[in-house]
Amino acid sequence: MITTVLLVVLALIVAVILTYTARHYFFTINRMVGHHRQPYVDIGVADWPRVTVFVPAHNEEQVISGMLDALLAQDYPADRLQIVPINDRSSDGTARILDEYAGRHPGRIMPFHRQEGLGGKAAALRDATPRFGGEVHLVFDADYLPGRGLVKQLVAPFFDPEVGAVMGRVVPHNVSRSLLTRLLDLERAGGYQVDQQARMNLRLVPQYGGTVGGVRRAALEAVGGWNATTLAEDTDITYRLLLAGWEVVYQNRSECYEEVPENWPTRIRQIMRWTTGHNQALRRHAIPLLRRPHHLPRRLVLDGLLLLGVFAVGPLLLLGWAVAMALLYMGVVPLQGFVALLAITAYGTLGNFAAFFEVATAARLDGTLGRIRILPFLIFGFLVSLLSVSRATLRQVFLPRPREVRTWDKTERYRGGANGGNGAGKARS
Amino acid sequence: MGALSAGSGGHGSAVTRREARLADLRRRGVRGGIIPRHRAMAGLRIPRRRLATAALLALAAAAGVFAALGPLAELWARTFEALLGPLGIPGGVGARFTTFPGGFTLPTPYLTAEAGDPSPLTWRIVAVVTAGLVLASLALPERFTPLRYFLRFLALLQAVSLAYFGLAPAGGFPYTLPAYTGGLLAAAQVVLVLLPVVLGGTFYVFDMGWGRKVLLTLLLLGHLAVFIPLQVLVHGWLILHGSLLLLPPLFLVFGLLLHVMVFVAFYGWGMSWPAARRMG
Repeated sequence: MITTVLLVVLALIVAVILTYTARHYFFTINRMVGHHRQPYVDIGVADWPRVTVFVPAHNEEQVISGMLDALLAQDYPADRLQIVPINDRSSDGTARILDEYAGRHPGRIMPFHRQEGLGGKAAALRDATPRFGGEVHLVFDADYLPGRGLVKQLVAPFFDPEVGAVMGRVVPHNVSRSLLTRLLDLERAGGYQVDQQARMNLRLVPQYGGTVGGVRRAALEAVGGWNATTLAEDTDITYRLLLAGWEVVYQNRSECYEEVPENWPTRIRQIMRWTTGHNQALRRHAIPLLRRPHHLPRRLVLDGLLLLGVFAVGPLLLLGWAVAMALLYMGVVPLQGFVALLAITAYGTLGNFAAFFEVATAARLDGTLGRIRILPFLIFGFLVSLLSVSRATLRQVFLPRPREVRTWDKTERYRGGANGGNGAGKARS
Repeated sequence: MGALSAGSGGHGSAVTRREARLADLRRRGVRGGIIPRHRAMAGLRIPRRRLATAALLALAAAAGVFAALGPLAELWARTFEALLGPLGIPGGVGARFTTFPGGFTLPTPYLTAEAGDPSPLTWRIVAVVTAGLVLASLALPERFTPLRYFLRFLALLQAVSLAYFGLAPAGGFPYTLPAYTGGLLAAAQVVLVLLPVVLGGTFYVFDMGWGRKVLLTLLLLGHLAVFIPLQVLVHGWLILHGSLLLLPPLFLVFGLLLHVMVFVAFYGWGMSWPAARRMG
């Protein structure tokens, strides 16, 4: 009886893993040879709408100036671009820097200082957005470095009245700092160059990623605004827009440059935060998606569910290992003879290889070939991610955080000093 | 990269040679070089001819490996015979036969030496080493986090094995060293046949030049052909000295997974090679 139960559980887990493996291969092949949908990238001259760019900031004195300078230099009609840095209870020099910029650029930079309410990016956005106009609301993290044409590129898709959100590509700029930054560069390439673009090509569910992107204000208001109680307001808004019938668009050409974590503890905290937020979205939106609103085709529902479940795969994989080990010690072999041999070896080689194929293809499409040589080291990144995701999921299941406690759990910054860092990795506030 | 398409890709066969020439000229720079497309627009155009030859090369390589499995098994057996004495591994080399669909049978060598359950002393030594792994993982600085996690993962697998052999009745472990070495080699034989097929879909379709595709295939298969029997010998030696207690972690972490990682290393190297044709 126990053996049968374990075998069924293992079979189900293998089926889920194989589904994600097939998805990796399918997306990669589509990105290689499929028709690339980049429908709005050529719009250069238009009657541009009023845009408000929000930059949530908590203790960002090291990087906020770079962000504001880059936004001021945008090739976008100045009278239609409003820049709103949101200072959320910073205890460093962020508030002073923002006020100085506002003084130098009256009417263009309008800081919003928060001292009350829930902490965190989602809560900051929820507080700030109703106070400012603009047909389109873009969001950037404070450490990002947008090029001159980026705002136009991100706004262009909104000429399509069905588009509710847009997302650009995130490219690390501190790649050469450590093995970790090099691995993250490869992972980002796979995630954006292949995964997001393939979903765009296939008219599936590109994900709004919370930065280097934005939403149509009318769509945002129609679905109830930003959710202040989630750690992944980006995933949450993606699904609320999807369920309400809005399109989410990915613009591979719209690149923005970010600092990726340079040390493992920061990376682990980042993964755990993403996991918690993504799992919140899974809990909130899986059932409504399964009910399949009439306007959603089956492929969107399937892709939406697979995307929602991405962070659940880690613990599932660990459970699969545990069950396989139990069966191993019990001396149970699911299938006999050649078929078993072929199935297990094929699963071991083809299954394990899919993610490497995706990343190598992305790096090759990027044209940066040398970095592909560190491909095998990705296994270490996968191991750390697997265990961190599982840890965050277990913590979430067994030790749910009280709803009212929402704090900034931000990523450490490195710009502006050999030792770098703003201490974000050491202290939360 | 070579043969990057004009973004939308996929209509290569419909384009006449003259149109292709014109398309090429449109991207010609002032000094004769090719103006590359932005990476966001880059795709891969796979002409039917390359697709067909990729499939043929993959099938030919897989068939070649399949045909060579018999002699390879013989070579592995001789390697074992030559190295068993110097390594102090008792017993000899046996052969088991895997029957493939269609009645084809393939010999797979294995080590005949038998390993036993751990003695109390061995169990304690392995327990101390396992605890040492955990302590080492705690002592390592944060920049070695992946290694720390790996050591803990390894320690966890070994701890489960320790618990099993500490609690289960003697002789209850369902695997023997001969069956393990034979099974690992049989799985490796299947891996060797599968790898060219995987390369066919994930490497040969790129514009690398046939010489380099064949070279990478030969280097990869040659490496594994030498690596696998040595891996089995190391596993055998460790299990003989450390008892069956070591078999589960060796199988789970340093078995088939190691073959995949060798493959990924060669694949990453191959994918870093420039295209045979100029950037487009």
